[in-house]
Amino acid sequence: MELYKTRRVSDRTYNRVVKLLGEPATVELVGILGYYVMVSMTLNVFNVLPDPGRPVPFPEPAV
Amino acid sequence: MTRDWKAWTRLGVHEIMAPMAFHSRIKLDYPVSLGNYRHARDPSEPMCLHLVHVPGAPNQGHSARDQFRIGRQSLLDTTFDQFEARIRDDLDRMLGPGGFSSGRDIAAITVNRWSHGYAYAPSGLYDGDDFAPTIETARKPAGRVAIANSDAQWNAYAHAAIDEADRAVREVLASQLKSTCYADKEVIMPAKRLKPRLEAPDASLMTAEQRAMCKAIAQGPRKLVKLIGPFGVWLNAPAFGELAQRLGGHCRFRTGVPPRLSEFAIIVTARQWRAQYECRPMRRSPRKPASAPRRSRISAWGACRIRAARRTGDPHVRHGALQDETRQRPHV
Repeated sequence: MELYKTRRVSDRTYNRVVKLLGEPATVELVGILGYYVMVSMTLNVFNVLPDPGRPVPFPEPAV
Repeated sequence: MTRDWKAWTRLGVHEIMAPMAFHSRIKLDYPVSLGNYRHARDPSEPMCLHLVHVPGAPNQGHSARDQFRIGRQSLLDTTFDQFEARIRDDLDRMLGPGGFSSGRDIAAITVNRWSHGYAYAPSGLYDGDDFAPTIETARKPAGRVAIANSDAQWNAYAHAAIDEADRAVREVLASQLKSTCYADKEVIMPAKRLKPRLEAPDASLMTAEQRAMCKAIAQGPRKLVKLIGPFGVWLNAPAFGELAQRLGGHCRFRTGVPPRLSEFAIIVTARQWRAQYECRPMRRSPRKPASAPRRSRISAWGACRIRAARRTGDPHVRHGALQDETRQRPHV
């Protein structure tokens, strides 16, 4: 959330994550976040929704 | 406020009850010292008097509820000048024999109209059973505003105010939970259902490249036969789609990030982007991929539960840094 909010990550947060995951997995974690931003963008641009008749989790914003 | 209270000592009283007078009760201030304030000890010192007037319309055949209503109205209608005249009159007549003179001895007057403070409280003796639903309707939350205070219980006392504050806070928390954690059950349908803009091409019309991408996905860790979610879209650009799905397979199933954390990262991202599909409730875990059986066992649904568990302090969920995210309120 820090990354989403400030577009940066503080030394404190970075060091905590590296301590927890190690450097390779930290790289991958950032990759996961980025990959799923791509997935989300794809879903949102092309109106990919859950199966018809199933409830959706968020109110759909007016465009 | 009087300049002294010698008349009271001369009369040998500290309180006068007079049920039929305008002020039914007149008394010396409570002998309380607080901080730098020290209560009067000598009759020559200034003294605060308490005068109680309870407006009403007794003995005229009105119901209790109507009497309260009439009393409240008369309290609001009575001017300060009228109160002052009654105060001077009562004090002169009650304390005059002790040497009191309102013109000389009154230093100041404050009128507190507690028209709200002792509003009518329904009684099981005279009232019907309609007051519970009435008050429930009256204190219904309006959007994210919940109604606290003793009025919400129709009972003007501190314990009622405390109980109602507790209920109001719970209502606010419940409404927030509803809007932030869809997993609980409440979800909002969009006013107009959106139509997908791009779908996977029909199998019979696929190019060789598209068929190759389908095959790769079917043989990959997801074992998807039908291309759903972003894959259906990506199939329209199969060269890109093939690279994307391979990266996705690695991200989802083969990184060094613990599965709970990676699912958590996914759900936080999907939530941040309000990606309906990615956050859809998944009641069953996705099919286990042969290559990494443990990875897939936690679905997005499971990740949401991790988040919920974090809220309740589940000790199984304690992956430090990432969890700062859970404390953030989402921007809806």
